[in-house]
Amino acid sequence: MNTVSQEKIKSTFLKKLLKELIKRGAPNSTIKQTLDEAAGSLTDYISEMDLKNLESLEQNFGTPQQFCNEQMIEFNRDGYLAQLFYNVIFSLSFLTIFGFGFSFLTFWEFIYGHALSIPSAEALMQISSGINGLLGTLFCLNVLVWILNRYFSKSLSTYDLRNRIQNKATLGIYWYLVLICVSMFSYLYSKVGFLLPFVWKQNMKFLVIEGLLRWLLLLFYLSTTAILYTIKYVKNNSAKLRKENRTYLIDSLEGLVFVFVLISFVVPQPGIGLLVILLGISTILTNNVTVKTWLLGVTSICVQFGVLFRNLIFFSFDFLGVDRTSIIFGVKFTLKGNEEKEWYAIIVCIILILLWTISCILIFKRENKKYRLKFGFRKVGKQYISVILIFLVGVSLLGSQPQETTLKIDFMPEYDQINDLYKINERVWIPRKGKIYVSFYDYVSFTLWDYDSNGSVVNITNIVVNGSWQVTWQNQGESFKSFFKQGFFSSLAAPTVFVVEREEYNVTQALWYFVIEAKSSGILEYHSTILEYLSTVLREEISIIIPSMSYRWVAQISWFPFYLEPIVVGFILSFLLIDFDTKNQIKSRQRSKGRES
Amino acid sequence: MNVDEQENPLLKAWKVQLSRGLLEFLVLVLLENKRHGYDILQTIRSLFPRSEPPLSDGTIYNILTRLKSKDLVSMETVLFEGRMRRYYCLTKKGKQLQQEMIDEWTNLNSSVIKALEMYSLI
Repeated sequence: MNTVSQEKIKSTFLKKLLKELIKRGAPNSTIKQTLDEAAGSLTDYISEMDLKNLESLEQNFGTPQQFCNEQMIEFNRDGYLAQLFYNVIFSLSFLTIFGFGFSFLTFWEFIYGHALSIPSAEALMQISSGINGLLGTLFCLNVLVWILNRYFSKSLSTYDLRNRIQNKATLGIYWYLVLICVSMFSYLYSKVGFLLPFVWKQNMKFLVIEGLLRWLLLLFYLSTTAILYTIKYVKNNSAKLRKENRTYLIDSLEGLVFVFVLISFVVPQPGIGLLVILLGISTILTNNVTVKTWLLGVTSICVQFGVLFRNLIFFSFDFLGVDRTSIIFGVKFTLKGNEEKEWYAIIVCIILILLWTISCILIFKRENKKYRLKFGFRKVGKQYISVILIFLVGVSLLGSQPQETTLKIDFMPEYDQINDLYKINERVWIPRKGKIYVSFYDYVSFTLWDYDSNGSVVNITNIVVNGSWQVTWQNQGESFKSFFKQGFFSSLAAPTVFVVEREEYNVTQALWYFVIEAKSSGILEYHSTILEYLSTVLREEISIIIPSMSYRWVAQISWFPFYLEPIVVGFILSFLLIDFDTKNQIKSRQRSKGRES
Repeated sequence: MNVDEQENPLLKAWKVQLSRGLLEFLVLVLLENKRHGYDILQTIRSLFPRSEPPLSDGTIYNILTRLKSKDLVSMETVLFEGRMRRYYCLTKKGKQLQQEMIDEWTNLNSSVIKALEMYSLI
C-alpha cells in the first residue's frame, strides 16, 4: 500500500479519535498524549499489517471508542462543557484579530479620511508616528498571533485538527497584517505625498525620514515574520520533516524579543508595555524558560521603563494646564499637580522584575535545571541570525532618532464688537530649547452657499479671508523678541493653498512653516486679525514640533543617540556573545572530552 | 436484582483494571527476547484467552509506542516477505524497569497469597 493512502487512513482515524475524546470531555493534555501515541502506534501498525481501508483498521486495531475505553478515558460532562468553551475561545481569539484588522481597513477612510485631507505638518506628523497608534497596533497584533500560535502549538497535538486550523489561521493573519501595512502605507503616502517635497525643502527633513523609517521598519518586521512562519508551515506540512520536531527561527523567543525591544524605541506606544507583560505570561505558561529568557525579560522591562521615564520627564512640564495622563505597563495613571509620577513607574517596574524572577526560579526548580555562564560566539550555523540582529540594531537606532514631539493648538477667533473684527491672541510657553518647527494654517469650512455679515450670498469659489497674522518667539530672560514673522491671509499663493473637494463641504487652508532657534525655554506668541468673517466655521491651528529631550539634554547633533540607546543596544549585542549551558549539557561535553582524550 | 448482578459491573471493572494494569509489565517481560509487534500481541492473547473486553491490536501497539517514547524499548525495522516488520527489544533503561517491576510483582504476589492462606481461601 502506498504511503499516501496509509496517511489518509491514519488521519481519518485520528480525526474520529479526536471527536471521541472531545465528546468524552478529556482535558487537552490527555488529548495531546493520546493522539500522539495513537499516531505513533498507527504508523507502526498500518505499515506492518498492510491494511487497505479504515474499516479493516477499526476491526483489528480497534475503533476510536474502543481505543478510549482501553485508555480508561471515561465520559465527563463538565469536561465536555470545558472543551466546548475552549473551542469557542480558540475560534474567537483568531477571529478577533481578523476582525480588528478588517475594521481598520473598513473605517479608515471614515475615521481618518478627513484628518488626512488637511495637508499640514500635523498630518505628516500623524503619519510619522503612525496615526493613533496604527503602527503599534499592527506590531501588537503580530506579537499576539505569535503568542497564540505558541500557546496552541504547545497545548495541542500536531495530529489535532484544531492545531492544523490554527496553523492555517496564523499563516493567514501574518500575511493579512502585511497586506494592511502595505495598504495603509500606500494610502497615507498617496494622500500627503505631494506635501513631502515641500516639507523637505523647509528644513523639516527629519519628519519625512523618521516617518518613512518607522513604516519601512515595521513592514520589514511584518514581512520577515510572515516569511519565516511560511517556511515553518511549508516544512512542517512535509510528513517527513514533521517527525523530526524541528525548531525554527520564528519560534525563537530571543529573536522576537530583540526586535520587540528595538521596535519599542521606534514605536514607544503605551500598548508595548502591556505586550511585554503578555509575552512574559505566555513564556511562563509555555514553560520555555532559560537564563537567557530571564535576562531578556528583565531587559524588556527595563527598556520599557526607560522609554516611559523619558516620556514622563517630558510630560512633567504641565504647560497646557491639563491633567497629566500616562499609561505605565497597561495601567492608566491620571495625576494632578506635582505628584511624582516617576515613582509609580519605578515601583511597577521593580514589582514586574521581582514577579518575573520568582516565576523563572520556580520553573528552574521544578525542571531541576542548573545553568552555567559561558562566553563565546554562537555556532557558525546561527551567525546569519546575528547579522540580521545587528542590521536591525542599526536601523532601529536611526529610526529612534531624533526624539521629537508635536503640540497642536486650536484657536477659535473672538469677536471684537468695537472694531467689528475677529481676533486671536495666544501665548504658549514652551519649556524646550533647540530647533522648534512651527506650522500654522487657517481652516475655513463652508457649505455650497453662504451669507456674509450683511446677509448677502457669498460666491464660494472666490472666497478670500481678509486679515493679518503675526508669530513671535521670545527666549526666557530676554526682553526682545528673537523671532518675528507676519503676513496677510489674502496674500496666500500656490503651493501653500490647497482646496480639497469633500462630499459635504469644502476646506480651504493655508500653510506656513517656520524654524525657530530657541536658546532656552520661551514664549511663542500668535496674533491674528480677521476683518471679514463668515458665519460658517473658521478655525486656526498651530502645529508646533519641539525637541522633547532638549530641556535637560540638548541634542547637539540631532542624529546622535541618547544615553539609553547605547546601553540597551550594547546589552542586546552582548547576548550574541553570551551563552548558557544546562547541567546536562556540561556533563555530556565533559564525557565527550573524556572519550576524545 | 440479585447480588451477583449488582456486583457484576464492579467485578468487570476490576478485571479490566487488573488485566490492563498488567499489560505494560507483560510486554516488558515478553521483550526479554527480541520480538515483533504481532508476535507480542498473539502471546498476550494466548495468556489472556478470556479477556473482557477483547484485547484489540491497538492496545498493545499503543503500549509499545509509549514505551518507545520513554526510551524503555528500542525498535529496528526489517523487510520480511515484502512487508516492513518492526522488532522491539528492551533498552538498558527498560531492562532496569522490568527488573523493578518483577521485584514489585513478586512481593505483591507473595503478600496476596499470604493473606489468602491466612483465611484458607486458597
